[in-house]
Amino acid sequence: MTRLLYRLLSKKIIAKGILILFLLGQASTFSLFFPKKIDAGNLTSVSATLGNSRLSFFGKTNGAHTAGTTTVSIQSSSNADNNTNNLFPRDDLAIGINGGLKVASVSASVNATSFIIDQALPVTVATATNIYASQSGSLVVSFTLANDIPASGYLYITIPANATTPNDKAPDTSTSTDTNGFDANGIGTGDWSVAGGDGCTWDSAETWTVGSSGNPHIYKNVTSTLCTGGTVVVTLDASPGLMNPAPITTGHSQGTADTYKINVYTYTAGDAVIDSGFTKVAPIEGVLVTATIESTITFTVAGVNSGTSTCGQTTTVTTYPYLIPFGSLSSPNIATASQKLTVSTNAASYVVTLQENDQLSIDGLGTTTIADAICDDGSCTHTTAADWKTGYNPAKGNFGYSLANVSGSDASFLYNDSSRVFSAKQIAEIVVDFTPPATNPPTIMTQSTPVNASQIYTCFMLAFQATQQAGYYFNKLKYTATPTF
Amino acid sequence: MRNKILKITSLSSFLLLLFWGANKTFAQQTQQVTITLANARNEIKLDPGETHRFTMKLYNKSDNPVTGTVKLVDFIVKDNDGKPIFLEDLTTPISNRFSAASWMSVPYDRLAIAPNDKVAFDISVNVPLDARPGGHYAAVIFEASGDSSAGQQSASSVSHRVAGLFYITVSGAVTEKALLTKLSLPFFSEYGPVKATSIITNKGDTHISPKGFLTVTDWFGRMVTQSPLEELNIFPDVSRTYENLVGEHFMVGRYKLALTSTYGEEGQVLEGYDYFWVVPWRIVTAIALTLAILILLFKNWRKKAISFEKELQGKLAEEDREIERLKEELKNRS
Repeated sequence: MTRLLYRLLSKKIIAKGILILFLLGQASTFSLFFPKKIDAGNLTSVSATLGNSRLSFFGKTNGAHTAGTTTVSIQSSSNADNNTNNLFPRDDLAIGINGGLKVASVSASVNATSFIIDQALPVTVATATNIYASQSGSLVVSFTLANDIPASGYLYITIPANATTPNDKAPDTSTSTDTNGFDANGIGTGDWSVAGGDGCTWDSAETWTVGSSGNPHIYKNVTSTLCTGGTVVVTLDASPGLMNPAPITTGHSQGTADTYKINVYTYTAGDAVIDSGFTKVAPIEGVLVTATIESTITFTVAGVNSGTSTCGQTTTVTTYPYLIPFGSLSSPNIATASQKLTVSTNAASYVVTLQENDQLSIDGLGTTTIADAICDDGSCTHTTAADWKTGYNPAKGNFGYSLANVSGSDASFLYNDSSRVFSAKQIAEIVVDFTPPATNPPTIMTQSTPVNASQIYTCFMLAFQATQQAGYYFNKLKYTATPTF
Repeated sequence: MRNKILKITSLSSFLLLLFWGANKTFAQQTQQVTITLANARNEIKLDPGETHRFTMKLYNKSDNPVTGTVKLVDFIVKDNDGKPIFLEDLTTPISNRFSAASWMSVPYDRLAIAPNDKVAFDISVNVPLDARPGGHYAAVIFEASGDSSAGQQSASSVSHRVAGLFYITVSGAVTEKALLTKLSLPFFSEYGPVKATSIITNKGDTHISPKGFLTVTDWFGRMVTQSPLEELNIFPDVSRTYENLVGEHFMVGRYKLALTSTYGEEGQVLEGYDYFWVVPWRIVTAIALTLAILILLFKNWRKKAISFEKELQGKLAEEDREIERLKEELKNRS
């Protein structure tokens, strides 16, 4: 035993083992560089569009329902639909042999298990009787040919079908999408039409084969002339229309679509495949809005008193919601002022922007102006921040701003970013710095989730120089609070 | 008596002054204007020729009246964060196929809201008969302005605006088309979860809000995690980026990330996948080194054990020979 173990651990065998592992690793790594591509087949731009993308409803009665009743209870487990979330008022309904009914109303509660029908139930039904609210509609399949279809060649489309009841004019369900599909709903060749393709002459022969025993539905259409390319559009009309499946009974989440694959082929007259491709369609529950919660956005602008510490500075002037008065400045001087902004919204996300109509100028006339700050290294703009410690220096500009969070983290940049003392930007000026629709004012406050009372300070610094012409300087600032798209 | 009256008067004056001063300070500290707009987002589908009314509400939650202007503007979205670009102050007119503001009207362009009160007004939409099918987008903006007289000093006047958005889809032959233009994540990571980046581009005529999942499966095809895709509106001709952390912390081997998403009203599907490796190489290296050391130690011990055994066998053989020799000698003697 000892000798055997020793042989196993001999250098040669260990070396061989390492080499084998190394080669296996290389082989699997090599496969990563050539992953299987998503769209097998060479038909291009294959698409399928459902005229009605709602899933059909398929539930079962919970208890017997006698003739004359108008309230229907459904079972809450083990079926395709176990609540009324996929049932809407005015949906056409069949309960067992009772057809021609409509849903009168459904509960506004989520996951309710009863609903009202628009007339008394004509015939008594037993417990676990099928309840159907079918959804059907048109189907349009289009694709672009990659290769010619010779004369007498044909297109061939497969549509998933339920393995057991593919054409009973009732919504189908199964444990998975692999064994479920669309009900043929009595469709015939007269409900199909084909157009397009360069040189194609369709309908020389046309067949519609209902699926069976796990095979899909098949539509086939022969062209009597050579097709040399172009886009082919195959249309199934909405009367009676393809019947959408009900949700699968295992692994389906309401609000998440069940996806089904539709294959498209072109063949020669001798049944050899020329091109192939596939696409997927995704029926999903509809959304019924029974109550409206207002989406709101609340915006507050508050003045800040002088002597308040904001953005690492102490304000020298008191501000008001509509006014930032810098006072009668004598040079050299620095005035610092702040306002506090507060936003609350349930509208998922928001932005606040800041812009000015012009630089500060005497009487707001725009001729004799106070220059925007360019900061200590000359690099700050309305989009780029830089440190601005030396406010007195005329070469560094005169008017800029920064931000600080008060509550939350919604400020777009902060005064102490990158360990700066006063990280500042210029205020964006309409036309000069931004011009809709190409560009828009920069964001100063934003959050990608609903917020309650997020607050920031906007901190303004005005450095008044000795050489500045005397006068009263004005401009207009504008905050805009808006939900994002 | 006089002194007493004087003291009371002085004390009362002092208290009055204190109270007035505090009130003045309090008023300064609480000067603010608060405006609430509802509904902030409005979405509807209309037929050509159809009319509709939206009800907008503006709440003034301040202690002072608020006056301002109301206007309707078109908006578009160009960047990844969904920020509307209001088409106002245009230097040159543009043709915007998503326009809707010209279909809409408000009853007044100026209004005043009393303190702690609200104003409700209707915004009418009249869709033209020849309206292009698809998405149309506009915003109502209320701009509040107040006392901004600065007197004899330099100042900046400040106006505040709140905006509400309207998404109007005109029914008809609407193209719904989206592309999954990117799905990627680091090829190799030591640990999960791994950051996945996906970009969906809307090439249709109307906005979409894709819904779906990011599913991670291992090399046996077993699902490891499934994360929902955040529901974001995507404006026509715009891309949105989604970033998700996928997988678990401790994973070993090759994994597949699959994105499956649906969008639009016609059951359209977006799918894509990518592969990635997760190997906690530091732990693996440590284990491998430990095993290698143990193996070497065992081999060394084994070698010494065998060598000692051979030595003993040699000595034993020598002993045997010596014994045989002594036996022979003894035999010869006897």
